[in-house]
Formats: sequence, C-alpha cells, structure tokens
Amino acid sequence: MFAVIFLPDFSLQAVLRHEPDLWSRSVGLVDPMLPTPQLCGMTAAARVLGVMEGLTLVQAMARASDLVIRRRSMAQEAATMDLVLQIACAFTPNIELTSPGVVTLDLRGLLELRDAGPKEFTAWANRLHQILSAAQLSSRLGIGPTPNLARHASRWGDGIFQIVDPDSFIKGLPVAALEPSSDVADILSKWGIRTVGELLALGQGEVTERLGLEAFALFAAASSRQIRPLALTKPPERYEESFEFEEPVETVEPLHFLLRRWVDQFTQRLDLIGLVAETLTLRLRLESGDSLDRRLPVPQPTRQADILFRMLQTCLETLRTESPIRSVELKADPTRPRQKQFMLFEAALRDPHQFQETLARLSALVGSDRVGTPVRENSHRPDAFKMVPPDFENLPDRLAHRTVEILRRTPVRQLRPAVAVQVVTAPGTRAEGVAVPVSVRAPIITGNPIRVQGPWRLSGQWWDPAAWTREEWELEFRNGVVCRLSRDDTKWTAESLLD
Amino acid sequence: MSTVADIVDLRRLLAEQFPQAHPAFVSQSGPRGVPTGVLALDRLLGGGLSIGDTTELVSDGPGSGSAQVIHALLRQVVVDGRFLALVDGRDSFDVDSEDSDTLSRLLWVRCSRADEALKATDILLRDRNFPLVVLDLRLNPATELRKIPANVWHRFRRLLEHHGSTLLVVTPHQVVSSPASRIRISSALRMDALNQSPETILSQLNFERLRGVETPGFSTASGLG
Repeated sequence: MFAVIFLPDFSLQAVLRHEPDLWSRSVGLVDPMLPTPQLCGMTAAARVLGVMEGLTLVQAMARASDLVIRRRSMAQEAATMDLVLQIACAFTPNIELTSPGVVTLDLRGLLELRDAGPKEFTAWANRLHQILSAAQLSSRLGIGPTPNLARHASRWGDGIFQIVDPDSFIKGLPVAALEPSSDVADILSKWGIRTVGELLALGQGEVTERLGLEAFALFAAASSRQIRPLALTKPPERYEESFEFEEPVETVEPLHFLLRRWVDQFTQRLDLIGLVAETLTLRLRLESGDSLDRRLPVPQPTRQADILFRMLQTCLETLRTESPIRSVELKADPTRPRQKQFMLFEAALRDPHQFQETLARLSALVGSDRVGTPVRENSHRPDAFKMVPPDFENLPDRLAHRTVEILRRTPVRQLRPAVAVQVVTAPGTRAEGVAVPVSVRAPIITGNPIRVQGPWRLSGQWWDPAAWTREEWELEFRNGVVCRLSRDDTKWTAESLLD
Repeated sequence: MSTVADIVDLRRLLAEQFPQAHPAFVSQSGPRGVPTGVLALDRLLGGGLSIGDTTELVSDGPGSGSAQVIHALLRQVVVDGRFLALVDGRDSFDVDSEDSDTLSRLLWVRCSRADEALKATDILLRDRNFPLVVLDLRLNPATELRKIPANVWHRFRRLLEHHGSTLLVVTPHQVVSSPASRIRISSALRMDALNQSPETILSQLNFERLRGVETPGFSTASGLG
C-alpha cells in the first residue's frame, strides 16, 4: 500500500503558516517572480468575493477592497517541505517528494501495518494527519494500492480517504484527474467523455490512434495496477524557520509569539526522530540592513520546548537594537541525546539550563567580558588573564588536588585599573644605581614607606612589538598598608594591596 | 523513597563506612555549616558558614586578611568538589595566586559598583546551582555602601532560606542588617606575609565574633589559629 500527503494551496499554506488568523480573512498571494505580478492563490473568503488566480493586484483590489496581500516565498515553501518530509519520515523511511506539496509514502514492509485492515490504516493515517495539523498544515491523505491511486485519493478525496475498490474508484474520477492537456481535454469534452471510466471503456488502442502519444500517459495515469518506482529521498536534517514582518517591529512580543510556535514545532519534529537540539541560532535582520546573530548553545541538549524558549527569551531580554526588526530567523542544530554518568560524590550543576540563563542575565548586567571563569594567559606578565564561559560540567577530577602541590603567591587585592601614583625616589644603599621609593602620593595611600622590598624586575615578549618590561616594589607604610607598586619606564602605578 | 534521597543516603553510608576515601564529603556534609578552609573561622562560626543564611565578615583595617579568607574558601570549595560564585564589588580578585584547576571552579562576576554587585548577587541567589555565593564589598567606598537599602538583605535572606544557599558578605564595616553571624577580621598582616605560605598566613588571621551563635569551649576573641 501507498499513502500520499497532499497539501492543498501549498504556496498559500507555506506563507500563512505563521499567520493562521489570516485564513478567515480575504488574502491574496502574489507571485513576485512573474513579469506582471498576479495572484497565484487566495483564501476561501477571497474566492467568495470573486478573487481568482491570474488577476492583477488592481483587479483583485477592485473586487475585494480589504484584500490582504502576501508575497509567495520560496524560502517558506522549502521550509514547509522540509517539515512535511521530516514528519513523513517518522512514519516510513521510504518517502518521495513527488511535487511541491505532495509526498508519497511507501507503506510496504512496515511492521505495524502488516496484515492491517482498513481500520488500522485509518488509525495510522489519523495519527499522521494530527501531527500535520499540529504543525499548522492543512492536509489530505490518500491511501491506495499504487502511488497513482493514492495520489488520486488524496487529491479528490476529503480528509483521509482510503481506496477499498480500486477499479470502481478510478472509473468514478473525472477525466481532469488524469491532467490531460487543454487540447486533449477539449476533444474529450466534445466526445462527451466526463469520467475516467468512460475513457477506459473506449480502449487504449482506439484512443491512441486518435489522440496520439498523450493517450498512453492518460491510460498509465488511470491504471489501477501499475506501481511506478518511487524516487526515494531523505529528509534534510534542517530545522529552520524565518519570517519577514510586513511592518518592522520595535517590541519583543511579536518575536515571542513566533519563536514559541517555532520552538514547539522544532521539538515536535525532533521528537519524531528521537533527536535533541544542540544549538539555537537566532538571526534578526534590522531595517538598517544590519543583522544580529546570536548562537545559543544548549547546555544539556534537549527537546523540551519550555527550556529552549526560555533561552531565547533571556537572549531577547538582553538584546538592544539600533533600528526596528525587519525579519527573524531561527535555526536549531540537532544531535543525538547524550547520556552522562555523574560521579557519586561530585556536585554537578542542578539545572544547567537555569545556569545559562543566569550567565546571560549577568552578562547583560556587567558585560560579557566581566562574567565567567578566569584563565591565566601564557605569559609571565602579572595579572594577565582572560575570561571564558564556565564549564562546570566537564571539570577535572577534584581528587587530583590532593596530591599536587603548587607554589602559590600570597593572595592580594588587585587594583583594576592600576592607580597612578607620584613617587619620590632616592639612591638606595643595597645596590648601586638603584633608586628606592621614599615617598608616595596617591588617592589610596600617601606617606613615606617604613619598609621597602624590591626591585623585582620582570619582562617578556621581547621578540614582538608587545614587549613589556617593569619593575615591582613592595612597600609597607606606618598605618599598616602594604602595597605593590610597579614602574613602567617612568610611570609609577599601585597594582595591589595586601589584605 | 525518592531516587534523590536514595543517593543522599548512599553517599552518607559510604562516607561513614569509608571516611578515609571521601574526607571532603565528610567535611562538607557536616551539619553545622559550610567549612571555609580557615580553621579558626570555622570554629568561631560553630562549624562553618550558616547554610540558608548570611554571614558578614567585617574587614577591619589594612591587611585585615579578608582576601586570604576568600581564597581559602575557594580552595576548600575545590576540595569539596563544588563551585563558588564570587561577586567582586571592585574587581579586586587576585587571579595569579591560584592554579588553573582552582580557577576552573570559580564563577567570577567583576563589578565596579556596589549596586551592580547587589544586583548580580540577587541574580545568582535566584539560581539554585550555587550553594555558596561570596559578595565582596571590601573595597567599595562607604558612600556606595550607605545607599544599600536594608530590605536588600531581607530579600537575600528569603532567597537563601528558600534555596538553602549560603552567602558570605565581606565588608569594610558593618553593612548587613541582621546576618546570622557577623565576624570581624583584623589581622594586620605585614609585608612578611607576602613571602609566607598560605597556611602560615591563615594561622595568623585574627577573628572576633560580633554576632552569631555561641560555641561552647571556644573564646570569642582572636588567636584561634
């Protein structure tokens, strides 16, 4: 048996998938690729007002003044087809993208449908139909013994249609179901042929003699036994959605609405094939022409819509754009679910997703370069470090700390930025030619040191333009302050305090 | 019994049966508080920092030793296999004095003002991932600290109670209203400390309890190292 998913008004569905409220209104779809923009689809409400395919915009607006115009989008159609193929593949791996909006499924060999009766097939089709509906897709499903019959059933049936008697079904179809050319359709009409059954009754030889080669194609399409081989395809592992706003938006509410829907759909699609989202990529195109890209790694890859949406929400809360948002795109990268065995005595993060949110909030508060875990740079320069995102999920084994002895400097309080100080020096007694600080004037400390240690001379990277050299002094004052001064050429700064 | 309770019981049983195998777990699971890694301070606090409450460390005078306590706490956290969130009110944490494994267990929030640090602390206390948060206001000017409304500390206490977290606030003078414990540290470290081992320095630290639980058998004065 074969099944066919047919999406009526496919181009219109692809565009209105993100605006389902418009289905109840008069909407016309314009194909911008045509030299003269014409309507190529419309809602039922528009049809009632006399709007039809082929009308120009002016003609359509003359018939329906409140007609809402939307442009056909190839990107939306491609995304919709990806969605349909992914859903279909969850039911059988043997699928064919027959044409835009039409997918054929080969049900032969499916364990759950082996020896199944009409009731089982209907239940199976109902499940498929429900998932398509949940993805905001209106579909018709046809089930038949050949791909062609299933396609006819989906196109001419209503909702879910299963062919029980193939011969009588095909004979009852109108000739238009075989999609003859307009010339042949006219001839058949003049002959008084209205149904496929009447055409078949004429006989293939007789008709071919009169209509030529096209008759072969008509009889092949009317065959109830011929099983053509399917051009099998694999659904792309692509989870992308995009939407261009008619008017640029300045608030996040419209984005929340769209993103929630997309995240729900992504998670449903991922659920069908047992994958999880590893990364979300959000792209906002601004009216100014710039675009803002945010890549959000999911701490623990998941397909829980609430968690993924919360990540996007937090990201949007921390975003500030220079101009209104013209369009939004969301992409999810799938991966296989990971299983991790935690150590019995290791305290892992309770909620990694919450932790990522917290990091995002802290970054928004103090700046992304001021939150994280410090990592010392490969340099002897004091206080040379960079901030990296914390990775508490993959920490080294703490038991290693029991045996490793590391020589550490006494902790001090760093002054960032270093405070400029005025220093008076005098020739020292310990080493010839060394000028020792004898008086210090600065906002944090003023006076004459009672003890001085130094100089500790440091230098590095002499081989490149970032070469540095400095001299460090440790000073103790009468009031108990112990500080470390540094001299870079002639400039003195206070670097740290002992505390 | 829930799975979580099973694991907790299993950990406790193993720690009791084989204490030499998991000394860190035995220390961190003590009923009296979160150990700081400074013996004198832990004894004064009756076991460690109050779980689910605030401890204020008033750093009195230059060279008081508050930075030594923060670093000792970080090292203790590493031994316990946990993480530490440090909200640094004036971006004064010394990275050079710790090894990379220790730093890898630190979430460091580098603030420039007291109000910024308080907001960051609020965000962290709402995250249940960090059982221990340190708010370091030692170098923040008194003008900033005076502007902190008292209800901030009340809000923090409610969050701490709710999540069972622990907050250590390091201040230059008494700032926190109604902390569980308030300890004064006034060690007057001299220049020699720059050349001493961390253990030697920690043994020189002087603590005095200003507020908090009385621990039988221990003096409230300094010299407990």
